[in-house]
Amino acid sequence: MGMNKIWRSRFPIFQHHPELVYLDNAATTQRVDSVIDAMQEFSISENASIHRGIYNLSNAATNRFEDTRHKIAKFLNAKSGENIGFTKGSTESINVVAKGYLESRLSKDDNVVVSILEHHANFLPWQDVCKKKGAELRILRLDGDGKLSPESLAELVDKRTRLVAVNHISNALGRINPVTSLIAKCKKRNVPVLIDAAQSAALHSIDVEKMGCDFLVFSGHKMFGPMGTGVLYVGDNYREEVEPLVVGGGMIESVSESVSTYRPFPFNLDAGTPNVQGVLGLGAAVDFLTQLDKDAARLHVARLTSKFTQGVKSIAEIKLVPLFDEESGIVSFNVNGIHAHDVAGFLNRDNIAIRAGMHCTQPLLDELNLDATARVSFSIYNEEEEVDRLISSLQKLVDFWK
Amino acid sequence: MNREEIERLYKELIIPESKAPYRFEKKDGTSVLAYNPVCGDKFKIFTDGEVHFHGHGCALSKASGSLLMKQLEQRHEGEAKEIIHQFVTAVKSGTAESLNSDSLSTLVALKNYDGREDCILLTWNAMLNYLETK
Repeated sequence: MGMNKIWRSRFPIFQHHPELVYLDNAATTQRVDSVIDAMQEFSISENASIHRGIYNLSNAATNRFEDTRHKIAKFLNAKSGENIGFTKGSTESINVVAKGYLESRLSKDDNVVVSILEHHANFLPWQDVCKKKGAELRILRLDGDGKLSPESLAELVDKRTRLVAVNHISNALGRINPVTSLIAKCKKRNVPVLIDAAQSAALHSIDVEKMGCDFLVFSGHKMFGPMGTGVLYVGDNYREEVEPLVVGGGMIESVSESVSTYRPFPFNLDAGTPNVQGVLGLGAAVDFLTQLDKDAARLHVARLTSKFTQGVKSIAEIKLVPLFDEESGIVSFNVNGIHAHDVAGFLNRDNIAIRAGMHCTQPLLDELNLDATARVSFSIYNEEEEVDRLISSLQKLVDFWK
Repeated sequence: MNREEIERLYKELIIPESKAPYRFEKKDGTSVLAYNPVCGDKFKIFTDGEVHFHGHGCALSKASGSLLMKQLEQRHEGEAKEIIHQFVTAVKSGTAESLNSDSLSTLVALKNYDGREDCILLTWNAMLNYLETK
């Protein structure tokens, strides 16, 4: 059995839906069996509230929850579990940085730089704080060759730049950005950088030390883990400067009638009873990814992407948005004369699940003068035969619509 | 309704109607926005003189907008409100008996098969809201 078949066998959804061709992995990936097992195990035999229980079940849950921070630190090559905060996803992680770190440090005439490729999750929080504080939101645009260039970023960053936020892989187009070089330009001016790794955390090895970022975020549900889980990595230089958006039980050092103090990051993000079951599921996803041969996984995804992009060349009506990198596994396209929603709706009738619309990237689509695109996104469990089915369904659609 | 049936209805009505939508033209003057932020379908309905519409969206929302234009032709506001109200009610309840247009009945049939009420009612709801609040 090839690696692809072994990987696929670990995802129970495909036993429940043998006909399903699931190509919406950039929105959410399917859940691996060990994640499901870990979460079920917690419900069945490990459930207890953490941190405050003086009994074995609570202690065990606390240890496993805290161990997961260290596991994720290792996964990212971060210095310690104390650099790893738990959130409900990338969106919340970015909001914590925008509102819990940046907002109080941002003044009129300061600026924040984001790229045109950002998901709304990595655009709106910055736009929002800039508006509140009278700061400028600067946009790093694509260069003539359709890439984000470190040189262009260096021109945008100046002494009033308070943060740069950019994604590792564009969710809408599948462009892999040169994050290490982009970060290096910011480091020269001591500007902190946030990397949105939502699309890369699963199959692209991430080394925050080598990359040099100060903040990095990702979501559990795009890496074979559960929805409602996410990570905020904060480097040592900024760890003590991140304040919580939500306060309450479980994150305090002391509380009195007149004044209270909070625990430092990452524990200050854990107000209330945290999503322990989800965090343990996320930990199981990280275990799976740690054992996964990521080079083989990316090669597999790149092959599928290439098979698709080569295969649709025979259909004149299909226009790819040519700003993808094959190893991302993401490609956006349009079919002449047929709206993207109709493309997705038609493929759905052949049990092929793809996404259509603006992919939460309206500024990007405006920039490219596109109303919407259809998007396929491949993962480790997809197969070559599924690409054949996709292409033949697209051909059928084009013939039908004539 | 099976897949063959829905494809037949697309072939007979939705595709031709969306490829050549009626009174699909930008106009000056008052306009009403029909926008679905979830999917991005966006049309403007121009209400000065004979009603026109323009914008982008899926075949179903565009075809439905085209049929709305046909229904509103030569109607005064009271009639327009009544026609739209009747159609919105028919789509929501999934029963087409009250409608005297085969095309509009087809939209109700498609809603019953495929859901997508938001696509069908996008321009209709915007126009109704405009007429009721102006």
